[in-house]
Amino acid sequence: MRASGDYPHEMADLSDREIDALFAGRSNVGGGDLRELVQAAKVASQQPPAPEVQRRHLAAIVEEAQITSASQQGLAPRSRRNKMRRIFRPAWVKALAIVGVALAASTGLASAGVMPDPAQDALSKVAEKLGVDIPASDNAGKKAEDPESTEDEAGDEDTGTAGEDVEGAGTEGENGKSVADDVHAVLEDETLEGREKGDAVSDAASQNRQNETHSHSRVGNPSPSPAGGQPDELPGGNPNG
Amino acid sequence: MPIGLNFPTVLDAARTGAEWAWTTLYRDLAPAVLGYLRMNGTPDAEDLTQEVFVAVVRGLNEFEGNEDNFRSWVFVIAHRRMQDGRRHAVRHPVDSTPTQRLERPGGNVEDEAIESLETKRVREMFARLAGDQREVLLLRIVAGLSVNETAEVLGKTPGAVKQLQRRGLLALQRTSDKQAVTR
Repeated sequence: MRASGDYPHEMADLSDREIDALFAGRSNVGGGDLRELVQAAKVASQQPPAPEVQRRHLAAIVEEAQITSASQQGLAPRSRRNKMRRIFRPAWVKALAIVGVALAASTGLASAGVMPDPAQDALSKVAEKLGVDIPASDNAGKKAEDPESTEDEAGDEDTGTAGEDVEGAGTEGENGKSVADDVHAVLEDETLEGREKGDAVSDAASQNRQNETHSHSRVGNPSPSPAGGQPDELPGGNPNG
Repeated sequence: MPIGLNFPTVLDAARTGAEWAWTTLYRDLAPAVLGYLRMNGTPDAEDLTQEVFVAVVRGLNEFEGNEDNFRSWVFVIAHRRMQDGRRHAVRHPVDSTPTQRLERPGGNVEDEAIESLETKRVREMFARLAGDQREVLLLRIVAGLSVNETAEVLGKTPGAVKQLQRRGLLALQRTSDKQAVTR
């Protein structure tokens, strides 16, 4: 291609502004043929499509426009709702999930009795009010029941007679439950009223206390194993039997 | 003829699917779109014009801007559709466009028959230009876009567009001179 200098009388001196004016048909710049050519191009390009082509085009365009408009009007509220859900749902879900997981985890841990003692006690109290059976911490029970029981249990461990003692402890637990059931049964017994009912409850509860005392006495004073011997007691006891 | 101050009203109505609004937009832009496609030698320019406007309908809700922006956007679509058509023609050379022309009533054969000699001469002169020069000149002359808008449509820099339009004008001038000598 030749450079613009090949047509110094036509193009070399045309500025961008003059070219803009040439295209817009506002200026008498460029050669006569070039101006005519640009104008002819404008005229040629401004010929509208044939009427039947216009009708066909417009029918397709309007049909598409109405379909698009209808679908967007139908989808707009749904997309707005989705947007609102996207905004708010995570907060709901997160909050519920966190609370649910925390409750499940703490209840599970409390039921297993592996939570820290203060938390175990607190959850046990709350659960008791809700009617859910969650054991309190061991320390709380020991402190409430018998401060010396720790020593008893230590002695128990030292004696090496755990088999029988554990069985006894299990009996205590079972008795505790049965007595509680007894008390509950007495409370629900509609044939008893007033003082009679109070006495019955007292009897059931005292039965519970007796059982506990009996159990503790068994735990605290384990019977020595006939074959195993008790090495820790030997120094304090009679070595000769 | 630009729509002018009524353009926002027309655009809003077009978004609701109003027939009168689309008729207004079509009558304003279709001649230029069709002229741009024809002068670029696009086969089935009328069908492609319809496709361009259908694409405009589908994308209108994403559009934001004034009338000049809208015009530029329409020609972005037209130019891309034209390029897609060219790529399709390269990949599928079996498609027989002349047959389609002959079969379609009121199509290009008839249009070409009633076309004035001057229009035919102009079209032939533009057909001799390099592709990027022709596209720049047609967007500037036929579509009435500015240098920056043309650059945006073609994905070129404004400087490149200025260079291409100058070279294109030189080429047109040279061709015109040769035809004058021949005549």
